[in-house]
Amino acid sequence: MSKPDDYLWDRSGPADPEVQRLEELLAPLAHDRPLDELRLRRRRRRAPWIVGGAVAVVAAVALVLVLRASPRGACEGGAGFAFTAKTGTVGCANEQVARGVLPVGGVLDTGDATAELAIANIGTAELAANTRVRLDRSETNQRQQIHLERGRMHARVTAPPRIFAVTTPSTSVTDLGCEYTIEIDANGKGWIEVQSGMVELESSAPAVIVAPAGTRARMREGRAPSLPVSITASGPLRDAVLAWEQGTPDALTALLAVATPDDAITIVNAAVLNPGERERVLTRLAVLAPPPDGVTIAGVIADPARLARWRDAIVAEQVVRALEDALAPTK
Amino acid sequence: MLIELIFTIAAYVAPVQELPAVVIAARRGDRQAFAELYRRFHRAVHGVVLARVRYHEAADLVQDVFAIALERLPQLAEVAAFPGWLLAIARNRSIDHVRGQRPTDELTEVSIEAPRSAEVKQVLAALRALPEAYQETLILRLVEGLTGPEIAEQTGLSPGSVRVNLHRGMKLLREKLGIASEEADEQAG
Repeated sequence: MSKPDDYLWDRSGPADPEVQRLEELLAPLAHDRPLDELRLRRRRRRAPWIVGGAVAVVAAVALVLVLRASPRGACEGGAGFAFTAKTGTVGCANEQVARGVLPVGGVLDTGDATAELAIANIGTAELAANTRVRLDRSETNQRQQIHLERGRMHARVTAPPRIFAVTTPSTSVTDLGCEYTIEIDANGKGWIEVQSGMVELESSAPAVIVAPAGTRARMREGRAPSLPVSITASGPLRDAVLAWEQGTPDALTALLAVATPDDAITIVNAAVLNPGERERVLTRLAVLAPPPDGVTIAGVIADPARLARWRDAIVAEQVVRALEDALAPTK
Repeated sequence: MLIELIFTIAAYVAPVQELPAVVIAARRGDRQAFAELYRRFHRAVHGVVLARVRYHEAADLVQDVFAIALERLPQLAEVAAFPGWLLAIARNRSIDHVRGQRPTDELTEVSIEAPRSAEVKQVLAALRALPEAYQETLILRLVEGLTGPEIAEQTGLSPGSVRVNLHRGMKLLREKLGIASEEADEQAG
């Protein structure tokens, strides 16, 4: 079944007449000019003396020597995310430095050290040893995005939802205002644990998983992220999720059977990831966490977008429960 | 001779080159590879620029952005970061350009009929009045004609974020233009 905004997304599904009208109206503004080779050549000719000659060679050698002697390298000064090695030095632009600024497109490799990375002015990320991150995007008051190639990162972000995102080899993590830890290997296998707020997890698969505070989800190589599981979930529930991940027959049945009201977040995400079994999953979910007013199982089956309200209610409850757990005096 | 023939045939039947390979080739000075990068990204760059500057100045800035990119390409540490890096140049170049002047919706070079020109101006002004996260995404979709998956690929944003930006941006755009959404119609009905 097509979603209402499928046409807006990729022109599939029934055409939205208004979107179609705006497309036709604005199409004449689209860019269709060829590459201006002359402009490229002009820009390159600005300093023709650099092209050859002994003077240029001497100048270039001198420049290299000055840059090497200077403490100001590619990762020092300028725009980007500031970082500080907490132990030893870290690698940035092929140099070992104790602190600096990671530019857009730059890579920071902690090696044997640990480091703290400022996420623009909206938060911080603690990077464990053997962690490699690349800054993909950073504009003032706009989207900030890093790519975690491998290693472990603990991020704390105080910004409106969707400003900060972390991509990994397998999963994209979009911050919805929170604190979380990600550990991942170079193949995209790892996990995320959310300490406060919530995150959205997505991969190349169309479904988006929401993992709120107090849950942990596995990230899988070349596959959609797994179901978020409460960190206080029972052993049988964890075993059932593992069996579901491995595609064990009847694993979903076992998962539904062992789930308790505290596992509603796992089951609502199971409804997202199992469209063919949605009715069965929702029937069980209705027992564990009744749907909010105006949402029915039949309504969700007819229009899966309506599941979002049900999931939002469960996520809100999970976030509050995690907060209460965090504030509760230790027994 | 046989090897040459194989390479010639392979050149014709080879699949579209992956972006990192094209970026690496362009970084090494392969002008055809750079032209390929232009072919793949010129609309995305134009969309980003158009979100900030006058229409009749945007095309010129697109050429500027690619000239800067060619110059700085050797400094790009990670080829996978190319889309975000290129669009960062586009944003910075646009911001430099409009610094000290207010962006307007002048459309002096749009060769379309006058009545529609007024409507284009109105829609473009409404697009530019959207929150920044939605501006670029909607311009890439509605002006440049890119699909959501293409926008994700060319901006480095995740598909989910692009979809959310399109959905929410379109909702706000409808409100600004006084267009009833299909959702609202359904609820009213």
